[in-house]
This record gives sequence, C-alpha cells and structure tokens, in this order.
Amino acid sequence: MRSTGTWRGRNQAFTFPVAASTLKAGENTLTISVASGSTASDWWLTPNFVFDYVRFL
Amino acid sequence: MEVGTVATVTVTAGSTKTQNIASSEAAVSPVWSFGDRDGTPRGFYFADKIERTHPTIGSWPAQTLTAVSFAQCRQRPTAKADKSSLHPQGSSPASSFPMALWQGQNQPLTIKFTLTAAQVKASTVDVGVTSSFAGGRPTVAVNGVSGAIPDAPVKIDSRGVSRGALGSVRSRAIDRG
Repeated sequence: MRSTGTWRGRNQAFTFPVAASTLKAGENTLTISVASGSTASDWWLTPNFVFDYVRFL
Repeated sequence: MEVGTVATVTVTAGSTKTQNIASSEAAVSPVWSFGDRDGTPRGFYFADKIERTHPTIGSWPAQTLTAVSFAQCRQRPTAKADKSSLHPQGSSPASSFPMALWQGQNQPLTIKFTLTAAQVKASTVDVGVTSSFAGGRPTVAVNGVSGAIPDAPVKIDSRGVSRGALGSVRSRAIDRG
C-alpha cells in the first residue's frame, strides 16, 4: 500500500486587509504564496499548508 | 478557529436551565469564495484522495483561477436551489483549486476577479488553513501590493499533507514454538 497524507491540523484563519486604493474596477489579481524560513530539496517536503477556504470580503 | 464564546452552565437537580450557544461570529457575505468554511479542504483538488494517496501521485501546477462574485451569480440564477453549492457562472470549479500550496511546487496560486466600481472599497482576503508544515503560512499580494507576512503558526509534530503514515501493511514471520 502507498503511504498517504492528511489535512488535519490546528485550523487557523489568516486575514489580510486590502486598502481600497489597491483595488480597481475591472480585473484584479490576487496571488497567494507560502511564507516560511525553512527549505527542503524534495518539493513535497517544502513548507506548505492545506486550504480550508479562501474568501474575499 | 473560534466559532463561539465559552459559556458555563450550572445545572442543579430538578431544575431547568437555558443557555444560548449560538455562534458569536458575525455572518458575512463574501464577494467571492472558494471552499466551504468547514475546517476541511473538501471539494478542492486531491481532497478526496489525500486520505489514501500521497500528494506526489497528483499533478500540482501553479494555477490561475477565476473568481466571479456571488452578486453577479444572483443576477443570473442557476438551477441550483442550495446556496452552499452556488457556483457563479464563469468561476473556476472548486475541483481545480489545489487543496495544498507548496513553496517548492505550486506557489503562487493566482486568482483573477472582477470588481464593480461599488465593490472597490477597503476589503479583506481571508485564508482558512487546516494544517501547515515547516512553518508554512499564506502570504497574499493584490495587484502586486503585498500584505503583511503573518507570524509562523504553531508547529505540530507531523509531516502533514505529505506524511508517510497510515496505509502500510507489515507482516512478520512467526517461528514455530
């Protein structure tokens, strides 16, 4: 049998304020990246997180 | 993730007590969203497989997705009556949204979205995370303007989404007594 993964963890919400002056009528672009001070050579062992949801309020 | 406040109730024999345990969290109407706020990555790419399959079996390109606001959806109602499964026309399906983001593989995740003039106001990007590994936490940039980098989350002793646990079968010969 192959090994597996999990999504179970501490469950945390991260909120980021966005100033009105950053936004514009029409198309906008949001990028989400991973911050961490750690590194790894195998990509699946690099710093990561699992999404519960992403919403724009 | 807190969804309510702590309440203490003292119950004595032969009496009736009432305590409101409704969530104290404000109800919000997001402009757009991906995924339900249910504490799981359910619905996202690979979420249905992760309990049985190592993520290296999947395909994890850096994705560019489209989010259409729910307001536009209501102007063009779909046949679906259940609001939780409301999917605005033109929005990328949740199944194309990766359940996990790796620094060394599929970051950044790009989401294109259109705002009306009325929707251009002080806003919030809210990212719900079920688990993280090696201090990984989300950072965002909107139209190239980066948000503050949050503090590292508390680590748990697990390899998380790529842990090599479960699903292994071990056998061992037993000598004759």
